[in-house]
Amino acid sequence: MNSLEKITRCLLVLTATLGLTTAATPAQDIVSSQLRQGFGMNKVRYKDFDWHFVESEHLLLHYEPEFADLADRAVEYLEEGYDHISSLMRHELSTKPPIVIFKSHYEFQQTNIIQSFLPPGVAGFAEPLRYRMVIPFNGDLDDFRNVLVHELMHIFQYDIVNRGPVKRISNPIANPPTWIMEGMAEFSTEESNTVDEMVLRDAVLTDQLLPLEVMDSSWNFLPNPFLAYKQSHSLMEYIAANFGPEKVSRILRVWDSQTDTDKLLERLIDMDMQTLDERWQAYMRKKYWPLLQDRDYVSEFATRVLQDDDVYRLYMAPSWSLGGDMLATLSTDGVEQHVDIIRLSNGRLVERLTGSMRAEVYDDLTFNDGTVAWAPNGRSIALVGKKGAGDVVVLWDLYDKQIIDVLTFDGLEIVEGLDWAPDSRRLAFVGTGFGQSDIYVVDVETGDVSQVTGTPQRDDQPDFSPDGRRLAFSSKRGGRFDIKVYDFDTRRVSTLLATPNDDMWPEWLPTGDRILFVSTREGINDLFLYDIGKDREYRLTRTVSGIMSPSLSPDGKQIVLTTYYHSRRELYRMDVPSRVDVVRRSDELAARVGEPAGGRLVHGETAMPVSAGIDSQQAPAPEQMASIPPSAPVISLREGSGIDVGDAVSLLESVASTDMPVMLADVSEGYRADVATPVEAEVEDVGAALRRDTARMDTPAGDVGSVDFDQLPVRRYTPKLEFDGIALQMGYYSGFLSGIAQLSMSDLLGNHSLNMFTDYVGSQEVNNDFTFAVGYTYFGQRPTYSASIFNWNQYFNDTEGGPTGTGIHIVGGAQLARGLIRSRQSGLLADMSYPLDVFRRIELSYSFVDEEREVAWPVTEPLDGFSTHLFKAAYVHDSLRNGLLGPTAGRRYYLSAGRTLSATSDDRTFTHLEIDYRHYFRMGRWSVLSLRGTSVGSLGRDGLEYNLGGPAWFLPFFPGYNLNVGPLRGYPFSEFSGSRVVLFNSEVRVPFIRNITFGWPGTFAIPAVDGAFFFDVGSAWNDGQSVDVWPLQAPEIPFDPTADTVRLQAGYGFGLLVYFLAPMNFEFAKRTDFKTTSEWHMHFSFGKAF
Amino acid sequence: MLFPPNPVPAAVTPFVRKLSVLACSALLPLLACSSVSRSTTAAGPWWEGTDGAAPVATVTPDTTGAKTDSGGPTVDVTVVESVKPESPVVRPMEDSLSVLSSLSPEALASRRTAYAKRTRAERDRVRQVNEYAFWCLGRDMWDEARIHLERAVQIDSLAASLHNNLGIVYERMGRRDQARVRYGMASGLNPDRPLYEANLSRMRAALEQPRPIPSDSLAAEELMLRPPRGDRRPDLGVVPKRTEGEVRRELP
Repeated sequence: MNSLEKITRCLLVLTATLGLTTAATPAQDIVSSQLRQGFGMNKVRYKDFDWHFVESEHLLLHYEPEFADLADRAVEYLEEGYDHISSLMRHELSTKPPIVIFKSHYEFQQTNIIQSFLPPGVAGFAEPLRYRMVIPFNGDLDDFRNVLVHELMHIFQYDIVNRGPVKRISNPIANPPTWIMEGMAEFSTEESNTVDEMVLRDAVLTDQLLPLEVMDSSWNFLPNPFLAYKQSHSLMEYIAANFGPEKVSRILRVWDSQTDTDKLLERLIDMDMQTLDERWQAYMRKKYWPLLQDRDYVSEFATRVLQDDDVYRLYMAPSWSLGGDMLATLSTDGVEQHVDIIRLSNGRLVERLTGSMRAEVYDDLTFNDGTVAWAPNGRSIALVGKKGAGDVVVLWDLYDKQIIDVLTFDGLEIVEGLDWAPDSRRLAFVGTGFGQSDIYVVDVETGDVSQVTGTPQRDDQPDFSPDGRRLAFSSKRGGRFDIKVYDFDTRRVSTLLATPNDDMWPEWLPTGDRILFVSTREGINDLFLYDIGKDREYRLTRTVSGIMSPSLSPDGKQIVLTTYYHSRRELYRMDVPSRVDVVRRSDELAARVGEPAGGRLVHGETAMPVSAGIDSQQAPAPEQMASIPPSAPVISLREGSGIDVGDAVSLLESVASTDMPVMLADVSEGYRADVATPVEAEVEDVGAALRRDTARMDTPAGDVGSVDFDQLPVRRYTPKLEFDGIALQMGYYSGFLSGIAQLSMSDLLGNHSLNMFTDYVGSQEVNNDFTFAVGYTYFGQRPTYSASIFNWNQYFNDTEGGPTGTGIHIVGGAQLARGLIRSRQSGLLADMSYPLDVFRRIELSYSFVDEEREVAWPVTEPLDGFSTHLFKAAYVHDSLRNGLLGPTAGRRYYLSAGRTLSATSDDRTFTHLEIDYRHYFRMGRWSVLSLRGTSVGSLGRDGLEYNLGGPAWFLPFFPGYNLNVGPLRGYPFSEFSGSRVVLFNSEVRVPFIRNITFGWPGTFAIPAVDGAFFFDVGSAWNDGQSVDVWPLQAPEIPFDPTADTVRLQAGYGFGLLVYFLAPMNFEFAKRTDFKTTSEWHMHFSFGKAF
Repeated sequence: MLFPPNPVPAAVTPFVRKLSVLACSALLPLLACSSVSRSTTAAGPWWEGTDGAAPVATVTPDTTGAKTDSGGPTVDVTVVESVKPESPVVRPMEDSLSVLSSLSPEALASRRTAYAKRTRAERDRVRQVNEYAFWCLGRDMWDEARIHLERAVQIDSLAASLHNNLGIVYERMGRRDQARVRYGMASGLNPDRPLYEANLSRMRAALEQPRPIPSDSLAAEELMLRPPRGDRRPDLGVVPKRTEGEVRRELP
């Protein structure tokens, strides 16, 4: 994936930067760097994986034996995908790519192949350096196959573009634009579901398509990445359809010699990017606009629940209250996720359930459909959050307004699709674990869990019948969802609806004899009703967008549904039709589509008596009611359904000839008999899934069994270190020749990481010297261990002969006093970090540094030498929400304590104590009030000196030794120093700009610009000095570091924070004592705000 | 003071006072406008009232009885009911009310004595329901309050406060006959509470008065031969009208 490419690029660039800055770094940084405490959330490795791998014809698949069935299928999918892609791209991979699969997304998040956090939306990734693919199973085998093929296509792309390992390592970044890479990968899957279509169709019909030029240049800052993927896919299909499929494979080969997208397209299809975009958009409009003739926007028959046009706000998983006045729903405003209760009549928030639950009850909410459920007793609300290695169900009491229980499920990582039984005691859900997704029922009072289904294919969206004795659910068979019913009395599953389309989201009506459901007839999700007694279904909607996850009100009279409109998911509320819903066409519209005037579309069936109170004049005439529109779904039957086309036509005719104007596939008995064969499904324990006999599993779509998994060689994984990258740099700097080399190695799973760094420094004045550092880190278990040894030589001028460790500047700086000083440090560092959870960790470290100083030029003369044994412990808490320019919500703090051990009088001795607390209060959407208080003290004979003054992060521009504690704006950078520092910062940040794209020069985006108002106050002092808290230091009085008493310094001002490639801060500040102020001082710095 | 005898947490008290004032002022014009039209104009779904059974729950008497917290004997006459929770539609309580209202003063006193010895959990349950009802009423969610109170009163039919509050909800929703019955139940169960009797008296007096026709009600429209306003759905937002052949392009 491209994110990894960027990380790799950053790594290489960072390596070069380190080479430069290291030369300028003074000796004490190795000890002080061990003392500087960092923040950040934890990547917790909850599980000790037992990795094996199997080698097939074209790949190496790594898996765990506990989900060998899944690995079996993965090998088949990959080999099929390999053949398909190889044929498409006319290319054979130069090596067998190592592929790692996980049985859930949460285990996937624990991978060490990439160290950054993998958010829930990431379905997998492929990296270009070692051709590794890492894919989780999300509970749906078809999705799993698509992601495998998608990522395998990326491996082919890397292999074609990079052509071998040398170029791969030396230049792994020069790939075509992301829209081409992702479009090709999507194209290779040959799969587009109705939700994907819905997103694309909506963008066309609401004029929300992303300009190709913007996708080409600013992929990472696109407002709707999902749409970008779908557009890329469609563009690639357009190229293949209009210029030939071979053009798709030629893209990469053409790219190899031509790295401009316009020129690439001109060589490929003889048109530039803008022309391609225009023609493709015209094609899409012609494709989708005719739908408006006979389909409705959801807003035509339903009411938008939330009148909020905020593009960042999203609601999903709605669940009705008992009285039907409220909805419990997942919500996000782009910063935080919550479960809210909203009032239906006005969409206003009436209660936030999860205000303080994050980091206390769960790590994060699980943002899927069906993860909020309001119990029929009107009192309990169940919600799903991730806690530790898997999901938990939190039960919240509406009366007490507090949590009453938290349910955990051994072996099940992902929980979704919640549905309460009428007794409000049993809770059905979809659990993903053991390499498959099944339906379970938990008794919330006893915690007993029983398994309802047990097939490798996806079972989803359970819904209890009104009497609680049956459970309807959608189940995937043959690549399509059917609706099945589980009977708790007989413990058997029967098929209720099985059509060639997806039939999903069943919802029992209160009468218990009808089911509301969504079906993809005509390729668009619409609402239907199935009458079980009459064995007949009725269409309720004919939408232009599509309907997802309908939720029926407790009285069965209203439906809340999710649709996609203006590139957003929206909640709408509609009444269950009180009569047949008819749309009549005007003559003009009818003529446009070539139909006789007065033609009309039937949106549902009127066979049923219409409810009282309906204006009879609006009822359709009988002859009209029998008409079936041209776009009505054709009965197309699945192979082997036992009914041929002739029978289907007869079926339609017989239905149409009656006085019942059925417009959809009426299901014949023969059809029913064939598809409704009950499937055995015993009630099992959760753990029974582990012992499940694979012979019971049905065959998913496309499973041809072409690869005999059992015959393939299986071996246990043993780590072997391989190269991740090499960085080389040479430079000449002020009389010194420097040659830097960095080598990174890791094993395939990323558990073992070895980094080597050398810096050969030579000059005419001093003897050549060799600097090196070797570090090893082990990520394979929950605690992370690291150790490194080093021998570090640095040179600098001794200026005025100030105290050791101060007044040091690099060569080329101030006038020499004693000459060129060489500092050699050698020693070892050992660290251990143990994450208590995602937010909290404990860090322990030991450092031994032996340092010697000598005058290296013009004479060789030893100066001094000392050793440091430092033990440090820290507790870190970080539960921030981060924005592009700084934190936006949450808090973080750490407590750190260090102590040296002195074996001899030459050893350094000091004690280090530090606390840093930061809290971020949201003020509206993006505005935030940031408060920070920090204090650090280095006590003892050899205490370190800390600095204060200026902006937060100015080090790249500051050549000397520095331990700057934080921003004290209005003063020069690091103007104050002392072994003790106290600092308080407050800052209000408000948004000015979000996502602005410029068209000149070139196309580039500035994703965020904030304004800031701040006030800082703090001071630094040494042992023997006292601090007067009040009054503050007057701005006109110069700072006297030797005074017996120091005062607090304060500054205030405003700033502009701009994210352009990196966060940049332009700040203007004045010093103040609240009586007088100084002139304005301007600061510029890089980095996120504190 | 309209609201109930159960202890209210200090934090809720100001809210209750405010709510009481609002409710008083709202009750004066007989509270009938929007809620009446809502109950009479709302058309059921097309499947309802056809060949499908109406979604009415079966109410079955629970004969387990109510025990005292000291494990004392079961009360002689039990009207505690449970409704099958599969349906949110609760049958009106007239049956059980008639049972209660037909009790002799001695039997009623016996029940009150037994009721006074409820367990802490049972008391808490009543308090919780009442507080939740306040919470709903403060947000004009009368149906939500009603259905929770109706369910609670079926489980604990001796809680006078529940009856009183349910009476208030009924009164607000225009169901004055049901409100009177509830006030009567509250007063009968706890005659020491003047509030219940005051509510009952007021409601009786109101029922004896001819009921004014709200100017904007559906009934008034019919009388004045105005066309019905099919799009008016009080408290539920406006359902957009479909125009023949029109493709609505409005942005939400």
